[in-house]
Amino acid sequence: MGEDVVVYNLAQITGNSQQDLFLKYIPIVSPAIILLVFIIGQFFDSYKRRKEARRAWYYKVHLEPSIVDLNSFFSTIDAIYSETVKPLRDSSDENSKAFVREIMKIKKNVSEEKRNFEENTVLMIQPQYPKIFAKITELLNSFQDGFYELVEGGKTTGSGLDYTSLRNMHKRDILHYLSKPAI
Amino acid sequence: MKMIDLSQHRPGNSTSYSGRPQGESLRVKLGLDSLDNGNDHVLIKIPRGTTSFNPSFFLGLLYNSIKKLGVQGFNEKYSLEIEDEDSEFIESISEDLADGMRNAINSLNKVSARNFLKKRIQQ
Repeated sequence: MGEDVVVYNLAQITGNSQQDLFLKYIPIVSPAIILLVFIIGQFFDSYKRRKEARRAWYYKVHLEPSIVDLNSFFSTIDAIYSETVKPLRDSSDENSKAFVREIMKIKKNVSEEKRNFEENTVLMIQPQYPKIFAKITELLNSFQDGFYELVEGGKTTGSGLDYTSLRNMHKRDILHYLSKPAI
Repeated sequence: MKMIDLSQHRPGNSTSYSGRPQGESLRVKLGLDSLDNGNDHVLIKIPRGTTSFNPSFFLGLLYNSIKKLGVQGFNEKYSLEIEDEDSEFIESISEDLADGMRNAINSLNKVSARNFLKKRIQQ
């Protein structure tokens, strides 16, 4: 006759079933879960509040003045275009030194306006939003290239854009990137 | 010293250097990547009658060298000479070059931009 091996589990030894354990710990576990849910809720609320505060701060400190500067920048460029580029393109003396000097002066004015806009407006967002800064810089350079093509070449840029289309396209895209952190 | 004359690379009817892709394409053509690794000093000549040297073109042509060598290393290795004698043209092109360099520095890192801002505020 072989020896019987009797295995007792913890519940059998202590006399507690799994149900007993559950009933024993439920008064501790349920407040712990409530506390955990509360802490998680607080964390998300705080995250949302900080995000909202940051968005509002960006709107007030950066976006509002940036839109004013952007409008002012493009108004100045509009004036340069209508007052100097159009008359220049209508003149026929394209090979003279005076004509080339006039082209250089127009470009210099545009460069100065662009530089002021970059330094006073766009550069401010660089530390916190480097990717947006890079995009806007790229757009400004592209606008400058297109504008210079019009100064030198005639009615459209190499991509077939006239001044109004070039201006509107770049202004819209710059505004899109400037607004991104506030949306 | 290695000399690069840009007069051979300006588009026929234009008086300016413009466009990042055009700058990048010229960079490849001139083999600036291998010049960056060599010991020669490089002199780039901007021809007379140039009305602008756009930042986009500057970045296409030289940004990779500035990134690779650092600003100081780039300034030691590369010189840009404006061949025009007219002071207005020289001033205008110099400002274009400064704009290009500033764009490059801003693209490199945040710290440079912060220092640049601080400088501007102190002025």
